[in-house]
Amino acid sequence: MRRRWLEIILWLLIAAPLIFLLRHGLSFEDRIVSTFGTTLSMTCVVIMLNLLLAYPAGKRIALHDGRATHLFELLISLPLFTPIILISFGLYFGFIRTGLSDTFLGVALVLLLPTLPYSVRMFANGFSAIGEAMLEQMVNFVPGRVRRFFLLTGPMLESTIQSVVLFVTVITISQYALVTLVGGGVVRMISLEAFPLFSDNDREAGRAIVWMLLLPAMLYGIQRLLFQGWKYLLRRHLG
Amino acid sequence: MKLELISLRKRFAGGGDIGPIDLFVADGTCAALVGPSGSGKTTVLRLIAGLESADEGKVMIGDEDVTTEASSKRRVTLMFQRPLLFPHLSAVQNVMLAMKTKDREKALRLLDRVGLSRRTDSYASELSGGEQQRVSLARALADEPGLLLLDEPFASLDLPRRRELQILIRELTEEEKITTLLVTHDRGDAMAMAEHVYVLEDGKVIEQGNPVELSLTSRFFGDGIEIGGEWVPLQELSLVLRPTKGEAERVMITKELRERGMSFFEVVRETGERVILHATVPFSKNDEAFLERR
Repeated sequence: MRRRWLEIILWLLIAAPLIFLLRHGLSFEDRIVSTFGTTLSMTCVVIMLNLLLAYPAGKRIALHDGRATHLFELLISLPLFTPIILISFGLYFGFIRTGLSDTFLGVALVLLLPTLPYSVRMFANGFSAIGEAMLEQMVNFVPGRVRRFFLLTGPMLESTIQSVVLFVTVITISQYALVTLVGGGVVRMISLEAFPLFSDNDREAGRAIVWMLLLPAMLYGIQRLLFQGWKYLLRRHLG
Repeated sequence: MKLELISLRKRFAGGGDIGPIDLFVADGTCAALVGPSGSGKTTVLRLIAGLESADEGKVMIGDEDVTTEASSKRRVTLMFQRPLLFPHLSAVQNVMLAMKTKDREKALRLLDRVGLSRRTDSYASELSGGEQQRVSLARALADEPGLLLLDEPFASLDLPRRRELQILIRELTEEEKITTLLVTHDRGDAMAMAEHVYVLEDGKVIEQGNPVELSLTSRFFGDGIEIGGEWVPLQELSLVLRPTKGEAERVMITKELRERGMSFFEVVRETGERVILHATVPFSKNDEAFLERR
């Protein structure tokens, strides 16, 4: 009973400032709504790309040993050691040639630089925690990779996936330099809208966009709901 | 379903090759593959299960050559040293997962058979080590496997739980006529379970036979110790007791001596060498006791 009350108090403490924020800061100007849409879709695309690329890469690093794996790990981790802005300039010139600069896809790809190395590391840790023997047990009992992912690997990597989603969301919405460089002001995301708030102390601009900072919490909530649904389907499948 | 390995071989870039191995386990019987750590027992098991691919030779399960078949297509289940239950599933869901046609009633019956009828909805974290291993056994038998592969399944259990699980596995595999191959470095486990023993060393079968016969003759499997680099069977040894007062007494190591209360010699086999772990002798603490060749 006491725990229940503690939970309610905790939720109230989280919700109170948000209610105040929404009451005074909510703006539905076209520009703001469009920026929100771009930020949301960009975050979702970068999350999906991270999940699709980091899952097999992390598995490879966790379960295979040898020179090729170490080299692969080093390459994946390179953006952690080299200043990202340097790599971004290099990519920018490449993107101009391939027509990817000032495009949504170009920004999505450049946002992989500050996120993918960490996501790969998180998945590698997740797979290490599951362990090779457990993964072999899965292969022994459940045929088919997709089926295995739905029944076993996915739910067992829940906390890893949650961490990746939250981390990628926070990094994506807070990148200013990369989005400006590759997006060229055409791809407008929350960080661009927030710039006047920090450069000119423009509180009105800040008031208009600050509610978008709810995005991480929103995506985290959606992702939790998806996992609940996943578990429900799993329970139904296994009776 | 009989198991047959014909000149099975696996090569590794860094050495430690396995094989060629020839092994046969008759339908519905239990054989043990014993040997020191690093002898290649688990690799052989993985080759049979299809978790590693063989470079040469054949794996026959029943009359079928499954050497190139995927693991999930072989009618083989594995039981490891750790129970490896899927933590997000309950005991009954773990068992059902292993069934091709999900039959909850059958899963409940199996859990009842392993003595867990009251823990069917418990998760792995809520079960003791012994209980988890029993769920693991029920799961391994859920889809009526042709072949059950046991990779040191008793190693993490205390003695009473170990004996309990050994009896349970024997009962269930005999009832269902499931062919079983046990991999272990523990002679007691092999003696308790197997009708035939293969001794593996450096990736090759060096000895095989009935466990009782092997216990008298085998360097690895038998009772004996290393004296001056030479392996001596216990039946060739005497226990010399030198009391603080009076004359020394030479005692043969016989069954009778065991019955007089001397606990038998335990050996560790980590390196393949035999080392006396302890020998409890029912004589005065002041007596000196040592082994000498007769």
